Amino acid sequence: MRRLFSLSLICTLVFAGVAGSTTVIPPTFDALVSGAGTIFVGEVMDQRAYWISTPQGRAIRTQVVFKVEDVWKGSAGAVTQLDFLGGTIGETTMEVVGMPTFRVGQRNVLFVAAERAISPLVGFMHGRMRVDRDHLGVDRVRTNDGRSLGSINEVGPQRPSLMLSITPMRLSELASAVKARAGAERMR
Amino acid sequence: MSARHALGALGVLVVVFATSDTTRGFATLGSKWPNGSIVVNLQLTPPSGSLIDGHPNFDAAATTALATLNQYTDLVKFSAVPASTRPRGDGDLVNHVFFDSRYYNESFGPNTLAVTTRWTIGGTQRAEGDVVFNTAFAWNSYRGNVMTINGRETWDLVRVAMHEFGHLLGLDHPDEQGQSVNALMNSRIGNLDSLTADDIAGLRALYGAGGVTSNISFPPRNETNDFFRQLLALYENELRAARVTTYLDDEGKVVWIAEYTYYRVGQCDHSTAQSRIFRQIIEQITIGVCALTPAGSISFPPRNEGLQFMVAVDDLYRTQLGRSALTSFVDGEGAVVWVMEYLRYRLNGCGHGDAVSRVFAQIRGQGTPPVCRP
Repeated sequence: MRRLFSLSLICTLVFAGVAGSTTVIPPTFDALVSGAGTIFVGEVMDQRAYWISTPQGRAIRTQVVFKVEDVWKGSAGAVTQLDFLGGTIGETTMEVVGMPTFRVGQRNVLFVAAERAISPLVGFMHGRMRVDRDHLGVDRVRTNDGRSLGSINEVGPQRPSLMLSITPMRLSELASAVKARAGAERMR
Repeated sequence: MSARHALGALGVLVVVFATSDTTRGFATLGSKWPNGSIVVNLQLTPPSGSLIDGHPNFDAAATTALATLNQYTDLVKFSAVPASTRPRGDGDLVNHVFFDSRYYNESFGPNTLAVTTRWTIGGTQRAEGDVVFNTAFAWNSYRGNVMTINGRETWDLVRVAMHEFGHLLGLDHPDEQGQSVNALMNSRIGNLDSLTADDIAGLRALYGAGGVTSNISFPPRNETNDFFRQLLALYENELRAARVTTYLDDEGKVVWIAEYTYYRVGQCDHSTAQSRIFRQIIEQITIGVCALTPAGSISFPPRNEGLQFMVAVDDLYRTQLGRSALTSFVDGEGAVVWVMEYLRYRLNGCGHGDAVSRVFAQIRGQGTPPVCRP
């Protein structure tokens, strides 16, 4: 196992990369928490795309409705909706690179940005984590692209490029870390 | 097997699967542009002083990014419109690339370098793509590691633009599809400043018309055009050549002779090279070369085959394209012989000026070494 760990460490050093995503510089865990006005766990109940008119033309937005299971920071109603730029209406699709997309029934941890911006989530896809329940009934956390999130140290610019954490961290561990960080903010 | 050994085996299995993924390569988004030209309106122009790598402005840097991608696509080609005056708009089926402090009136949010949108019709056909670069960040154009200038992390527009334009074409982030490859299309940008073999393989998979990507760099077209302008002047003023009738204009001669040479140097025979160029002219489809050019001195096709090609292209312009008769001081044979000679020098180690003077020395009957490369 030590050899496997060593291999993992080497891979981390080789593939960690320098800056961040082209579209978004990945926020650190602390920046993710501090940039969020509300952090909640929610299951997608429904979603609906609609056209909007803008001064420069038109665009598609998708309203996603979440059943809120738990709120870790700020406040959110039992049913909360977020609007994401992009979506599909009939034959036409507008995509925004890096904007998360959802399916009904998916459970997520959502870091909702404190300030209104093109993405309602902090750092676009970085502000969404997936929640999967394992065969033992334990809720575990994955990144937006479905990779195992081993610990909060793997959030942000140092996120490994390879799947290094075989077992994703527990949702309860993430909740504790978020609440501790949010509490530390309030203490300042 | 004990539980510990079983876990060990599982661990090895996971590593093996992870390793297998490294060979799968690029990721695509499932939609493509229709064949032809993708017009991109650039509105990035400042600054007035040169950028670090010598580009005069950001439109020129973005044009380089587009041209780089064009090298690896056959079925579509980006067509840059620098300093475009098209009104900016989303959902207008026009491709816009510009700097702004907001994305179509919406805040970028912190840490957002650029936003790219893509419009798709019918699930598979791309119809529009806009890229907006955030003016809250420092931008320049340079090669090598990411720079910090005056205490600010400064982003290289060319590499970021190549990544974003890769998205416009339909490439996705391979590292977010469970793959571990060295690629500019990975979700993180850093010290990698150019396309990798994986990025190129993705472009070829989406828009390759077959053939092989050439390993030979031809001189820039403006230099070959400059050579031909000098050749025309020499034919007119020094050789006192008479005007001849042609249906292919002088610039077209340079373009298609260079393309013919490109295919021949890329190991295509005469008829294959000619048919690929005719597809380029008629269907606007560029096809790769037939094979990589062997190392060492680059050999060129016989002049009679070049002349046969020239006659065939001129005929194509007259009969199929319905072009009117023009006149030129350089006839088809002269064009083929001397343009190919100029290219032969360029591909064998000569610079532009050196190649021009060696060709002109030959025309004047003076001896000259066959190549510049030792």
